[in-house]
Amino acid sequence: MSSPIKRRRDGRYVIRLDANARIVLANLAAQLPEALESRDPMVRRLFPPAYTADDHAAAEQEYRQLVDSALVNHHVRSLETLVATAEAESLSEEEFGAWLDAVGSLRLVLGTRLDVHEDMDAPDPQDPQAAEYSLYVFLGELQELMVQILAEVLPDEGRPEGAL
Amino acid sequence: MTPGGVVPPETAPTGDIRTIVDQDTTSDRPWLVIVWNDPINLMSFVTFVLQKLFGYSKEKATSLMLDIHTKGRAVVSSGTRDRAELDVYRLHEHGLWATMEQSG
Repeated sequence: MSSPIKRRRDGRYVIRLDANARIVLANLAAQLPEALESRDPMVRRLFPPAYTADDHAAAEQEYRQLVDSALVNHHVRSLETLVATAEAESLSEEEFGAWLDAVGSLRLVLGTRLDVHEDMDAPDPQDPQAAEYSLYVFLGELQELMVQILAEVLPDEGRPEGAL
Repeated sequence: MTPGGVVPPETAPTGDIRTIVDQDTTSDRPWLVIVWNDPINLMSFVTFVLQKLFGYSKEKATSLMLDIHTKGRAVVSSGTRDRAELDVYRLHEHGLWATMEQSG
């Protein structure tokens, strides 16, 4: 089966998704910026600690002050790009990267809320979390396909030392 | 990571007591950037991020990803404190559970 995601010769990306899936994605993505900006506990997974040792509590506080607003802006920009381009026929490289980031943020938030763990079975269809779990699975499949396409252009042998 | 994985730690194991006491040599030891296993991030995504951010070969990035997955954590880069903070930040931008600690 051919992948529903393609990189065109002009460098733009095409994602074959039906209209409903696009609406679901845009609706999900539209909910997160407010949670991010208000540091709602539901998005805590997007702010891992840098310093965890007890004697580095002050360093951790400094790190948070230094980066948190940049981290929020980064994720919010990506989510807003996804919402704005949810129905676009094709995406630029930058927009595609924003989709990858937004889909990743949504998975982390949903996965944390669902408390996903190793070897987890899909919940019973009657389970109140079943719908959210299938969204989580959908986002994972989408992310996997996007990564496949992006990984194709990374050199297998890596970059020379120190290059960015 | 998915498939498989363990819950990310809220706190990493605390460092050697010398990191507190032995101030004279503290600044010389490199900082290690560690990525922890988590139950959400896909294995392919973790490999991709390590290749993209650090320029690692597919082989090296895959081997680090497998270490993270099977051993629970792996050192993905090291250097000065500033450099380590930047690397941690770039990993956090990509949703990976990264922390930093001074080598003991």
